[in-house]
Amino acid sequence: MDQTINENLRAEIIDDLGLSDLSSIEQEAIISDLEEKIIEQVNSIVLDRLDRKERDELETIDNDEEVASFLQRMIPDLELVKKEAAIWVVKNWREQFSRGE
Amino acid sequence: MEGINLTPAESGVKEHKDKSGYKRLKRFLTAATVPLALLAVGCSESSPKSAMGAQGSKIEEKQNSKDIEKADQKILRDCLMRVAGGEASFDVSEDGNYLVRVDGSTYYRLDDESADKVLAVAKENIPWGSFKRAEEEIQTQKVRNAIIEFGQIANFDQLTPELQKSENVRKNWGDKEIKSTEAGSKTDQKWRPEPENKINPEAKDFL
Repeated sequence: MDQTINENLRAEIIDDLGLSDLSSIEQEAIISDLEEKIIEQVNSIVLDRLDRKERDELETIDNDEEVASFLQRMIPDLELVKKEAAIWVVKNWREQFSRGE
Repeated sequence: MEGINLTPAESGVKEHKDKSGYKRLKRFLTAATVPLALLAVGCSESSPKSAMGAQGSKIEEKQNSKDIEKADQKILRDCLMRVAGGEASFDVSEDGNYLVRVDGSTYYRLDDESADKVLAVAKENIPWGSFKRAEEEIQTQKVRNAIIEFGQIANFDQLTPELQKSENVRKNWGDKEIKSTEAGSKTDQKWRPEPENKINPEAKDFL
């Protein structure tokens, strides 16, 4: 992603999540954690929608192009899954944050 | 959440552990996804718990729909810009219709209804990450086809003054070219501007 866009996004996220008063190390740690959670969440949803045979098939695919094509076939709404996963992760984080966990 | 069952992920850790042997997908997602962009989407589309009750929810709803509208406009604009090949071939008329030059020749006008249809095609073909450039080209091609299918051909008078100016510049340049070719000018033949690229690499959508 373009560096400027990247920085703008990061600034918006920091502002949106109310992290402005934290140190940059803390901000980075929270953002990295949320990014990782989003990937985990997408991973988890996708795997859950595949049966064992399909999961095994996915595991044997070597290159990314074939994985992309496999996912396009099996999870045609992957983009929506990613989006919903991101929303869920952020909502969840906000709830935990407001509970002071 | 509508349409997507998040329960397995929510009930989560155990379910995920059961599948922890499946690493291929995670490797792919890590490589092919821009989590920061997703996080931004998550932030803009999730609303903090409102203490304002129903009124707060309504405001949030309005804000969310504005955000979505804004994101849609950006998708459409970026796609049209790529089809046009640059700002000099794309504009919005005073009455809010998009004007876009297709295949370097014909201008098409998109009113609200046709713009919605083109947007739907653009959204159906949003690049999803792993082969972004190629996917973007496919999206551009599909949008181009949709413009031709749903748009109305615009004549010169319907173009904005800026577009008319660009067209005049092109026409003058073209006339000069023809004349210089007819005159057999060798100096003019030494340099030719690159033909306008249909896909502007600068105008790509990062989401």
